[in-house]
Amino acid sequence: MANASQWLTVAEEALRAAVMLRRAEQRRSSCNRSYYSAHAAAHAVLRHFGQVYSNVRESRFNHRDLPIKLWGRLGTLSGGQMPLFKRKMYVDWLNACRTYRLRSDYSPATLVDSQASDEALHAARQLLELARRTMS
Amino acid sequence: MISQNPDPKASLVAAVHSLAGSETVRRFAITFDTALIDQELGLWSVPVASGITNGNARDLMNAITSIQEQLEKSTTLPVMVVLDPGLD
Repeated sequence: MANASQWLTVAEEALRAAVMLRRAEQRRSSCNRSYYSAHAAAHAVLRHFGQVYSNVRESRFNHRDLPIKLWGRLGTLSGGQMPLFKRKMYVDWLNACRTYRLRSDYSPATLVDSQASDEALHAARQLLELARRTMS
Repeated sequence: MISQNPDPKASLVAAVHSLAGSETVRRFAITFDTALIDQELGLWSVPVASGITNGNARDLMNAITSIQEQLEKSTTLPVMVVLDPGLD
């Protein structure tokens, strides 16, 4: 079963790929990698706190559960609760990455412009920084 | 975003209905599945779909964000508008 630091490694690698793809103007693929970076970073946070996987068979959290579990866990951090608005920001960034990823992967007629892929990258970076800070 | 509402789901469903004819909802052919509105750990999920599969992804993202903000403002609940929840 993967530990938090292994999930963090996945998140970092996916973000590096997202940046490279963005530079190569592969904006859809960049959004895909941004989402999976954010996805892995959220896993890292949850696993750091020993959260049990919602999908035990596949040793991961389901896409649908992930923002909710993150929301719940950030509300119970040791050393005091994270402010509500900040918890919500992380959930919104994760959800935004997912939305861009769905449109990038499943809606070929949808334009995914530079700003969209930059927004997905920005959101993924926030999740990655959260994971790093949480685990430091 | 701390709700004192005695029936938050009813309040959220009413807020969704009030958005039904809005410009944003019509422009992106947004449909809400109010039967699937649910909360877990205090976070309310509002599933939506868009009938528009072309256009700009960022415009759709802005529309979803705007809908979410309006729902949060009118209900004071923490809301996550989820596009195509069954698609992953």
